[in-house]
Amino acid sequence: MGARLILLFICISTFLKAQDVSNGERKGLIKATGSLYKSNMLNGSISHFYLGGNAEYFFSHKYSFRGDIYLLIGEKNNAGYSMKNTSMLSAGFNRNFSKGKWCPTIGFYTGVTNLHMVSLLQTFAPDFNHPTVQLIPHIGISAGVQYYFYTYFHFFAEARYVHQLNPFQPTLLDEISYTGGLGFQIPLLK
Amino acid sequence: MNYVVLLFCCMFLLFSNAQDDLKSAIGAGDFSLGIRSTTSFFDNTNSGLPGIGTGGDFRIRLSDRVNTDWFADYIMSTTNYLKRNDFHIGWSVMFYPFNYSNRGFKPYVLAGHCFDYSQFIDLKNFNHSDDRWSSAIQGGLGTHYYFTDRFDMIFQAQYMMHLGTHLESEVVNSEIQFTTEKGALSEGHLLLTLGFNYKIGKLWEQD
Repeated sequence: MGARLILLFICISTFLKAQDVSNGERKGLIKATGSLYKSNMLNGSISHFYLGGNAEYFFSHKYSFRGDIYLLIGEKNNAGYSMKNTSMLSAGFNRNFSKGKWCPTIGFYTGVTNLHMVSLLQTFAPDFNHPTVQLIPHIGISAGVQYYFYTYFHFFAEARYVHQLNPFQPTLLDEISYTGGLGFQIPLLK
Repeated sequence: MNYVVLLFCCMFLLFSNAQDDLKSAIGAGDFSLGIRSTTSFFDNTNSGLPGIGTGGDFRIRLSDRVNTDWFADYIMSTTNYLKRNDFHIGWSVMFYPFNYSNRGFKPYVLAGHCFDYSQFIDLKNFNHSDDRWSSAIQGGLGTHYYFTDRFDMIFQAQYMMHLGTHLESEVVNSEIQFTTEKGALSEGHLLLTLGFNYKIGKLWEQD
Protein backbone atom coordinates (compact mmCIF):
# COMPACT_ATOMS: atom_id res chain seq x y z
CA MET A 1 0.00 0.00 0.00
CA GLY A 2 2.76 2.39 1.02
CA ALA A 3 4.76 1.61 -2.11
CA ARG A 4 1.72 2.28 -4.29
CA LEU A 5 1.17 5.64 -2.65
CA ILE A 6 4.81 6.60 -3.19
CA LEU A 7 4.53 5.47 -6.82
CA LEU A 8 1.38 7.56 -7.20
CA PHE A 9 3.14 10.64 -5.83
CA ILE A 10 6.08 10.08 -8.17
CA CYS A 11 3.77 9.69 -11.16
CA ILE A 12 1.84 12.84 -10.30
CA SER A 13 5.05 14.73 -9.74
CA THR A 14 6.57 13.48 -12.98
CA PHE A 15 3.71 14.00 -15.40
CA LEU A 16 2.48 17.33 -14.18
CA LYS A 17 4.19 20.37 -15.51
CA ALA A 18 4.74 22.19 -12.29
CA GLN A 19 3.66 25.73 -11.71
CA ASP A 20 6.46 28.05 -10.75
CA VAL A 21 6.14 28.34 -6.99
CA SER A 22 9.19 30.58 -6.90
CA ASN A 23 7.13 33.29 -8.67
CA GLY A 24 4.47 33.28 -5.98
CA GLU A 25 2.03 31.06 -7.86
CA ARG A 26 0.07 29.11 -5.29
CA LYS A 27 -3.31 28.26 -6.78
CA GLY A 28 -3.75 24.50 -7.05
CA LEU A 29 -0.93 23.72 -4.68
CA ILE A 30 -1.31 20.84 -2.25
CA LYS A 31 1.15 20.76 0.61
CA ALA A 32 1.74 18.72 3.70
CA THR A 33 3.99 18.98 6.72
CA GLY A 34 4.76 17.01 9.82
CA SER A 35 6.79 18.21 12.77
CA LEU A 36 7.20 18.55 16.51
CA TYR A 37 5.41 21.44 18.20
CA LYS A 38 6.44 22.94 21.51
CA SER A 39 3.71 24.81 23.34
CA ASN A 40 3.38 26.95 26.44
CA MET A 41 0.11 27.27 28.33
CA LEU A 42 -0.77 30.85 29.15
CA ASN A 43 -1.97 30.29 32.71
CA GLY A 44 0.84 28.28 34.24
CA SER A 45 4.39 27.23 33.67
CA ILE A 46 3.41 24.23 31.58
CA SER A 47 5.06 23.10 28.37
CA HIS A 48 3.67 20.53 25.98
CA PHE A 49 5.23 18.72 23.06
CA TYR A 50 2.99 17.70 20.19
CA LEU A 51 3.57 15.54 17.16
CA GLY A 52 1.58 17.34 14.51
CA GLY A 53 0.84 17.36 10.85
CA ASN A 54 -1.31 19.21 8.37
CA ALA A 55 -2.45 19.15 4.79
CA GLU A 56 -3.38 22.28 2.87
CA TYR A 57 -4.98 23.06 -0.48
CA PHE A 58 -4.62 26.46 -2.15
CA PHE A 59 -7.89 27.22 -3.95
CA SER A 60 -6.49 30.62 -4.94
CA HIS A 61 -3.13 32.35 -4.76
CA LYS A 62 -4.19 34.06 -1.55
CA TYR A 63 -6.41 31.58 0.23
CA SER A 64 -6.13 27.98 1.26
CA PHE A 65 -7.99 25.36 3.25
CA ARG A 66 -6.06 23.47 5.89
CA GLY A 67 -6.63 20.48 8.18
CA ASP A 68 -4.46 19.66 11.19
CA ILE A 69 -3.96 16.80 13.61
CA TYR A 70 -1.88 16.81 16.80
CA LEU A 71 -0.96 14.26 19.43
CA LEU A 72 0.54 15.29 22.73
CA ILE A 73 3.65 13.18 23.27
CA GLY A 74 5.35 14.92 26.19
CA GLU A 75 4.93 17.57 28.83
CA LYS A 76 6.79 19.49 31.44
CA ASN A 77 4.80 21.06 34.22
CA ASN A 78 4.48 21.78 37.92
CA ALA A 79 0.71 22.04 37.96
CA GLY A 80 0.03 18.63 39.46
CA TYR A 81 -1.80 17.21 36.49
CA SER A 82 -1.01 15.51 33.24
CA MET A 83 -2.57 15.82 29.80
CA LYS A 84 -0.74 12.96 28.13
CA ASN A 85 -2.43 11.32 25.13
CA THR A 86 -4.40 14.47 24.43
CA SER A 87 -5.04 14.96 20.72
CA MET A 88 -6.46 17.75 18.57
CA LEU A 89 -8.21 17.84 15.23
CA SER A 90 -8.89 21.15 13.50
CA ALA A 91 -9.79 22.72 10.17
CA GLY A 92 -9.52 26.26 8.94
CA PHE A 93 -8.61 28.75 6.25
CA ASN A 94 -5.35 30.58 5.65
CA ARG A 95 -4.58 33.92 4.06
CA ASN A 96 -1.29 33.75 2.18
CA PHE A 97 0.78 36.81 1.33
CA SER A 98 2.90 35.24 -1.38
CA LYS A 99 5.88 37.13 -2.69
CA GLY A 100 8.33 35.15 -4.76
CA LYS A 101 9.63 32.20 -2.83
CA TRP A 102 8.43 33.66 0.46
CA CYS A 103 4.92 33.20 1.78
CA PRO A 104 3.89 34.72 5.10
CA THR A 105 0.60 33.23 6.26
CA ILE A 106 -2.08 33.83 8.82
CA GLY A 107 -5.10 31.67 9.53
CA PHE A 108 -8.20 30.90 11.53
CA TYR A 109 -9.21 27.42 12.58
CA THR A 110 -11.66 25.58 14.78
CA GLY A 111 -11.89 21.99 15.94
CA VAL A 112 -12.06 19.63 18.87
CA THR A 113 -9.58 18.52 21.53
CA ASN A 114 -9.76 15.01 22.91
CA LEU A 115 -8.54 15.96 26.37
CA HIS A 116 -7.00 13.35 28.67
CA MET A 117 -6.50 15.05 31.97
CA VAL A 118 -5.10 13.01 34.82
CA SER A 119 -4.68 13.93 38.50
CA LEU A 120 -6.21 17.38 38.20
CA LEU A 121 -8.99 16.77 40.66
CA GLN A 122 -6.79 14.75 42.98
CA THR A 123 -4.85 17.98 43.32
CA PHE A 124 -7.82 20.17 44.07
CA ALA A 125 -10.29 17.74 45.64
CA PRO A 126 -9.27 14.10 46.11
CA ASP A 127 -12.81 12.77 46.52
CA PHE A 128 -14.06 13.78 43.09
CA ASN A 129 -15.32 11.08 40.82
CA HIS A 130 -15.22 11.90 37.13
CA PRO A 131 -14.11 10.63 33.76
CA THR A 132 -10.86 12.21 32.65
CA VAL A 133 -11.46 12.11 28.91
CA GLN A 134 -13.42 15.03 27.53
CA LEU A 135 -14.10 16.21 24.00
CA ILE A 136 -13.89 20.00 24.03
CA PRO A 137 -14.21 22.56 21.23
CA HIS A 138 -11.39 24.96 20.46
CA ILE A 139 -10.74 27.93 18.21
CA GLY A 140 -7.49 29.57 17.27
CA ILE A 141 -5.36 31.62 14.98
CA SER A 142 -2.01 30.91 13.40
CA ALA A 143 0.79 32.85 11.82
CA GLY A 144 3.82 31.62 9.95
CA VAL A 145 6.09 31.87 6.97
CA GLN A 146 7.15 29.44 4.24
CA TYR A 147 10.11 29.54 1.91
CA TYR A 148 9.61 27.58 -1.31
CA PHE A 149 13.17 26.72 -2.27
CA TYR A 150 12.29 23.87 -4.66
CA THR A 151 9.27 22.82 -6.71
CA TYR A 152 8.36 20.08 -4.28
CA PHE A 153 9.79 21.25 -0.95
CA HIS A 154 9.68 24.25 1.34
CA PHE A 155 10.88 25.33 4.75
CA PHE A 156 8.36 26.65 7.21
CA ALA A 157 8.02 28.18 10.66
CA GLU A 158 4.76 28.93 12.43
CA ALA A 159 3.07 29.74 15.71
CA ARG A 160 -0.46 28.77 16.73
CA TYR A 161 -2.71 30.10 19.46
CA VAL A 162 -5.40 27.76 20.79
CA HIS A 163 -8.30 29.05 22.88
CA GLN A 164 -10.29 26.43 24.80
CA LEU A 165 -12.12 25.99 28.08
CA ASN A 166 -11.15 23.73 30.93
CA PRO A 167 -14.05 21.25 31.22
CA PHE A 168 -13.46 20.77 34.96
CA GLN A 169 -13.55 24.37 36.16
CA PRO A 170 -14.20 27.84 34.69
CA THR A 171 -10.66 28.49 33.55
CA LEU A 172 -8.94 28.53 30.19
CA LEU A 173 -6.55 26.01 28.68
CA ASP A 174 -5.10 28.46 26.16
CA GLU A 175 -1.70 27.74 24.73
CA ILE A 176 0.74 29.01 22.15
CA SER A 177 2.68 26.47 20.13
CA TYR A 178 5.44 26.92 17.63
CA THR A 179 7.37 24.78 15.21
CA GLY A 180 9.45 24.73 12.06
CA GLY A 181 10.76 22.27 9.53
CA LEU A 182 10.61 20.91 6.03
CA GLY A 183 7.38 20.58 4.10
CA PHE A 184 6.35 18.82 0.91
CA GLN A 185 4.13 20.20 -1.84
CA ILE A 186 2.66 19.08 -5.14
CA PRO A 187 1.78 21.82 -7.65
CA LEU A 188 -1.28 20.51 -9.48
CA LEU A 189 -1.84 23.29 -11.97
CA LYS A 190 -0.12 23.38 -15.33
CA MET B 1 -16.98 38.40 24.44
CA ASN B 2 -13.68 40.20 24.19
CA TYR B 3 -12.10 37.18 22.55
CA VAL B 4 -14.80 37.07 19.89
CA VAL B 5 -14.55 40.77 19.04
CA LEU B 6 -10.77 40.61 19.00
CA LEU B 7 -10.82 37.52 16.81
CA PHE B 8 -13.28 39.10 14.40
CA CYS B 9 -11.16 42.25 14.09
CA CYS B 10 -8.02 40.19 13.51
CA MET B 11 -9.69 38.06 10.88
CA PHE B 12 -11.10 41.06 9.06
CA LEU B 13 -7.75 42.83 8.95
CA LEU B 14 -5.80 39.76 8.01
CA PHE B 15 -8.10 38.38 5.35
CA SER B 16 -8.99 41.71 3.79
CA ASN B 17 -7.36 43.37 0.77
CA ALA B 18 -8.70 40.80 -1.63
CA GLN B 19 -11.04 42.88 -3.74
CA ASP B 20 -9.03 42.21 -6.85
CA ASP B 21 -10.20 38.62 -6.75
CA LEU B 22 -13.86 39.56 -7.04
CA LYS B 23 -15.60 38.50 -10.21
CA SER B 24 -19.17 38.35 -11.30
CA ALA B 25 -21.96 38.03 -8.79
CA ILE B 26 -23.15 34.57 -7.95
CA GLY B 27 -26.72 33.60 -7.31
CA ALA B 28 -29.39 30.95 -7.06
CA GLY B 29 -28.18 27.38 -6.82
CA ASP B 30 -24.87 28.16 -5.16
CA PHE B 31 -23.67 25.49 -2.76
CA SER B 32 -20.99 26.39 -0.25
CA LEU B 33 -19.35 24.53 2.60
CA GLY B 34 -17.69 25.99 5.67
CA ILE B 35 -16.49 25.96 9.22
CA ARG B 36 -17.70 28.12 12.06
CA SER B 37 -17.25 28.82 15.71
CA THR B 38 -20.03 30.00 17.99
CA THR B 39 -19.75 31.70 21.35
CA SER B 40 -22.76 31.27 23.62
CA PHE B 41 -24.01 33.63 26.32
CA PHE B 42 -26.83 32.18 28.42
CA ASP B 43 -29.52 34.20 30.15
CA ASN B 44 -29.60 32.19 33.30
CA THR B 45 -26.30 30.40 33.75
CA ASN B 46 -24.37 30.73 36.98
CA SER B 47 -21.26 32.84 36.69
CA GLY B 48 -18.79 31.27 34.35
CA LEU B 49 -17.06 31.73 31.05
CA PRO B 50 -18.97 32.07 27.77
CA GLY B 51 -19.25 28.81 25.90
CA ILE B 52 -16.91 28.06 23.03
CA GLY B 53 -18.24 26.14 20.07
CA THR B 54 -17.07 24.45 16.94
CA GLY B 55 -19.09 23.38 13.96
CA GLY B 56 -19.75 23.40 10.29
CA ASP B 57 -22.39 24.41 7.83
CA PHE B 58 -23.42 24.37 4.23
CA ARG B 59 -25.43 26.97 2.35
CA ILE B 60 -27.84 26.60 -0.54
CA ARG B 61 -28.73 29.89 -2.14
CA LEU B 62 -32.28 30.18 -3.43
CA SER B 63 -32.16 33.59 -5.11
CA ASP B 64 -30.21 36.84 -5.17
CA ARG B 65 -31.97 37.91 -1.99
CA VAL B 66 -32.47 34.63 -0.15
CA ASN B 67 -29.96 32.10 1.12
CA THR B 68 -30.33 29.09 3.42
CA ASP B 69 -27.82 27.95 6.01
CA TRP B 70 -27.74 24.38 7.38
CA PHE B 71 -25.54 24.04 10.43
CA ALA B 72 -24.35 21.81 13.27
CA ASP B 73 -22.58 23.18 16.37
CA TYR B 74 -21.10 21.74 19.53
CA ILE B 75 -20.77 24.31 22.33
CA MET B 76 -19.24 23.73 25.75
CA SER B 77 -19.26 26.02 28.76
CA THR B 78 -18.25 25.65 32.40
CA THR B 79 -19.23 27.43 35.58
CA ASN B 80 -18.04 26.95 39.14
CA TYR B 81 -20.46 24.05 39.55
CA LEU B 82 -21.34 22.55 36.22
CA LYS B 83 -20.23 21.74 32.73
CA ARG B 84 -22.76 22.37 30.02
CA ASN B 85 -22.73 20.72 26.57
CA ASP B 86 -25.04 21.98 23.84
CA PHE B 87 -25.51 20.44 20.42
CA HIS B 88 -27.43 22.39 17.80
CA ILE B 89 -28.44 21.12 14.41
CA GLY B 90 -30.72 23.25 12.31
CA TRP B 91 -31.26 25.72 9.53
CA SER B 92 -31.74 29.42 8.95
CA VAL B 93 -33.05 31.54 6.13
CA MET B 94 -30.87 34.54 5.33
CA PHE B 95 -32.47 37.54 3.66
CA TYR B 96 -30.38 40.26 2.00
CA PRO B 97 -32.23 43.59 2.17
CA PHE B 98 -29.62 45.91 0.67
CA ASN B 99 -26.76 44.54 -1.34
CA TYR B 100 -27.36 41.91 -4.02
CA SER B 101 -23.83 41.60 -5.29
CA ASN B 102 -21.09 39.58 -3.70
CA ARG B 103 -18.69 42.39 -3.03
CA GLY B 104 -17.32 43.42 0.33
CA PHE B 105 -19.85 43.54 3.11
CA LYS B 106 -23.27 42.04 2.56
CA PRO B 107 -25.56 42.35 5.60
CA TYR B 108 -28.51 40.04 6.19
CA VAL B 109 -31.25 39.21 8.63
CA LEU B 110 -31.85 35.59 9.50
CA ALA B 111 -34.47 33.43 11.14
CA GLY B 112 -34.69 29.71 11.55
CA HIS B 113 -35.21 26.62 13.60
CA CYS B 114 -32.97 24.02 15.20
CA PHE B 115 -33.02 20.87 17.25
CA ASP B 116 -31.15 21.18 20.49
CA TYR B 117 -29.58 18.70 22.90
CA SER B 118 -28.37 20.03 26.25
CA GLN B 119 -26.46 18.19 28.93
CA PHE B 120 -25.67 19.45 32.46
CA ILE B 121 -22.88 17.70 34.37
CA ASP B 122 -22.04 18.27 38.03
CA LEU B 123 -18.35 19.12 38.26
CA LYS B 124 -18.11 17.49 41.69
CA ASN B 125 -19.63 14.27 40.49
CA PHE B 126 -19.74 13.51 36.79
CA ASN B 127 -22.22 10.71 37.44
CA HIS B 128 -24.69 13.40 38.49
CA SER B 129 -25.99 14.80 35.22
CA ASP B 130 -29.17 15.56 33.35
CA ASP B 131 -30.01 16.12 29.72
CA ARG B 132 -32.89 16.88 27.40
CA TRP B 133 -33.82 17.24 23.74
CA SER B 134 -35.84 20.17 22.56
CA SER B 135 -36.24 22.45 19.61
CA ALA B 136 -35.63 26.15 19.33
CA ILE B 137 -36.15 29.11 17.05
CA GLN B 138 -33.53 31.71 16.35
CA GLY B 139 -33.30 35.10 14.71
CA GLY B 140 -30.70 37.77 14.30
CA LEU B 141 -28.46 39.91 12.15
CA GLY B 142 -25.20 39.28 10.40
CA THR B 143 -22.98 40.16 7.52
CA HIS B 144 -20.84 38.42 4.94
CA TYR B 145 -17.52 39.78 3.90
CA TYR B 146 -16.53 38.44 0.48
CA PHE B 147 -12.81 37.96 0.01
CA THR B 148 -13.30 36.44 -3.44
CA ASP B 149 -16.32 35.46 -5.50
CA ARG B 150 -16.17 32.03 -3.85
CA PHE B 151 -14.80 32.63 -0.37
CA ASP B 152 -16.46 34.63 2.38
CA MET B 153 -16.48 35.25 6.11
CA ILE B 154 -19.60 35.77 8.19
CA PHE B 155 -20.11 37.38 11.56
CA GLN B 156 -23.58 37.11 13.02
CA ALA B 157 -25.45 37.62 16.28
CA GLN B 158 -28.64 35.72 16.93
CA TYR B 159 -30.94 35.07 19.83
CA MET B 160 -32.14 31.50 20.29
CA MET B 161 -35.27 30.67 22.26
CA HIS B 162 -36.12 27.13 23.33
CA LEU B 163 -39.62 25.92 22.62
CA GLY B 164 -39.94 22.84 24.83
CA THR B 165 -38.75 21.85 28.25
CA HIS B 166 -35.39 23.13 29.41
CA LEU B 167 -32.90 22.38 32.15
CA GLU B 168 -32.15 24.73 34.98
CA SER B 169 -29.55 24.52 37.72
CA GLU B 170 -29.63 25.79 41.26
CA VAL B 171 -26.94 25.71 43.92
CA VAL B 172 -28.24 24.62 47.32
CA ASN B 173 -25.76 24.30 50.21
CA SER B 174 -22.85 24.21 47.78
CA GLU B 175 -24.48 21.33 45.89
CA ILE B 176 -25.92 21.78 42.43
CA GLN B 177 -29.40 20.55 41.60
CA PHE B 178 -30.91 20.12 38.16
CA THR B 179 -34.57 20.64 37.37
CA THR B 180 -36.56 20.37 34.18
CA GLU B 181 -38.78 23.36 33.56
CA LYS B 182 -41.65 23.63 31.13
CA GLY B 183 -42.63 26.73 29.26
CA ALA B 184 -42.03 27.76 25.70
CA LEU B 185 -39.66 30.66 25.07
CA SER B 186 -38.66 30.73 28.74
CA GLU B 187 -34.95 30.05 28.13
CA GLY B 188 -32.73 31.70 25.61
CA HIS B 189 -29.20 32.54 24.73
CA LEU B 190 -27.24 34.93 22.60
CA LEU B 191 -25.03 33.28 19.98
CA LEU B 192 -22.17 35.04 18.22
CA THR B 193 -20.83 33.18 15.21
CA LEU B 194 -17.71 33.62 13.14
CA GLY B 195 -17.55 31.43 10.04
CA PHE B 196 -15.81 30.92 6.71
CA ASN B 197 -17.42 29.36 3.66
CA TYR B 198 -16.18 28.31 0.26
CA LYS B 199 -18.47 27.97 -2.72
CA ILE B 200 -18.03 24.52 -4.19
CA GLY B 201 -20.42 24.77 -7.09
CA LYS B 202 -23.93 25.25 -8.37
CA LEU B 203 -26.78 22.83 -7.72
CA TRP B 204 -28.80 24.35 -10.53
CA GLU B 205 -28.29 27.04 -13.13
CA GLN B 206 -29.99 30.39 -12.75
CA ASP B 207 -32.35 31.40 -15.58
